[in-house]
Amino acid sequence: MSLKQAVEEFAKGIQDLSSLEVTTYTGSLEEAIDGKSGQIDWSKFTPTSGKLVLVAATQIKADFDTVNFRAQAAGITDIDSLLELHRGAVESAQTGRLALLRMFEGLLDKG
Amino acid sequence: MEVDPIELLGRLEDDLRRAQELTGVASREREAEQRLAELGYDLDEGLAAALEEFRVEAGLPSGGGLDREAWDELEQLRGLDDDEIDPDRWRGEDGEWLPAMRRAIVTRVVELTLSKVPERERDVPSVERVSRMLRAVDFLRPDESGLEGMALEDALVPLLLRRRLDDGEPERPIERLRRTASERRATRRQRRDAEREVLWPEIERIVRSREFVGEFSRVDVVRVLRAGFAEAFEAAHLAMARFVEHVEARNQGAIRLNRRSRDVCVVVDRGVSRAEIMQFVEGLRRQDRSLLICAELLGTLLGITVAWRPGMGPAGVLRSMVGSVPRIIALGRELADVWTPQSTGGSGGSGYSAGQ
Repeated sequence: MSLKQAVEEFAKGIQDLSSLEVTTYTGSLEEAIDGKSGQIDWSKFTPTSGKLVLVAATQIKADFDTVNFRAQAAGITDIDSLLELHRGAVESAQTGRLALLRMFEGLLDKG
Repeated sequence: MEVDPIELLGRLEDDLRRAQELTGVASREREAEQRLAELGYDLDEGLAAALEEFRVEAGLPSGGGLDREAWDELEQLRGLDDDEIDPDRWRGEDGEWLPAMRRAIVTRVVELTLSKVPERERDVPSVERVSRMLRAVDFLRPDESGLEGMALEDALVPLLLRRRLDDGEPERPIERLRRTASERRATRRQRRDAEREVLWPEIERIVRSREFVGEFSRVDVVRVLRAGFAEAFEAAHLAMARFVEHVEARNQGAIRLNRRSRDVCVVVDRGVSRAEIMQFVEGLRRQDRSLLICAELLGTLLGITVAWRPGMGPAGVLRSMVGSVPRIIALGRELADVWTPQSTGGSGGSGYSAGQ
């Protein structure tokens, strides 16, 4: 397989990047991280203990249909900055995807 | 080193002939048939008839068949070598090319892709076809697409121009074509040299700037750009790798951000202040900006290498790079802007200190 073919094959997978889910939680971080490593095991991360609160969730589907969820302000300190952080995370996720697309755009232009 | 197409063609023909001789496939008669066919002679009536037609058109005595003289003349017309051809030998009393030479010129013109003879044209009498072809050559203009790089080889053009021009005689189109093409080649060469002279120092200037080198100080960017794009590609890879390190470093603080293929999860400790959150968001945006630049840079560099073809020489590689150089410079500037110390001020806690 030539490099060009490999790139095209990879580029086909980019369409999977059109769907996205961003979730933001707040609470006691100690509840989420492993006591020994100090890291979050993201593959097993399920904030069901009730000590982490879902602040916001955004789901972008492949057809660009977008669903946003935000928690009530009650019980969450400074929800506005947390929502700003959530928006920043969504924007960042989209930018990351755009970066990938730009990289492959440069490749496919010349290939 | 650029190989003259005519020389290359000659080598291929020689190689083929040697191979035929070594394998016993070729015979003198078969080769003569092939040469006559290339010159457009009709072999339906047999080799002897075609040879006789050739002898007449070449000004040789009739009835000699494939004698030494005919063989040598066929050899001359096949090679059309400027050093061996005696133009006066191939002119008639009226000063015009003998029909056999016209056939040879047309054959070479077609081989050099100056023009193509459509299949239906094969039935047109050769002399008429030659005249038409020569008129077409006269009408060629250097501005026509496809003429650039056209095989205006030194072996062909002088042959067409062998007729001495008297002073004051208007310049023949083919002469103008040759001169203009030569000028265009020189202009293109000058432009490429100028681009190299102007653009590469500019790249050097940018990459030498501390701002750009800053975060990627372990990479001698100047060296890799000089050494070639393959290493520049490596540098871009390193830049991306460094970016990933920064992203991973974000999982050390009170705000944890995890990117996966389809989902992003953020966990914020309840003790984090508003100022810390806003600083994190600002840092995230700046980091994403550099990611975009690095990705495009990497794509551009990769795109250039994808365009490379086996056997492409340094000049071809350079040509494939030149069009992308302005964009690479622009990306270098943008990257420098993102990583300047001023732009990272106040966000050192977010992993954006350019000098670390």
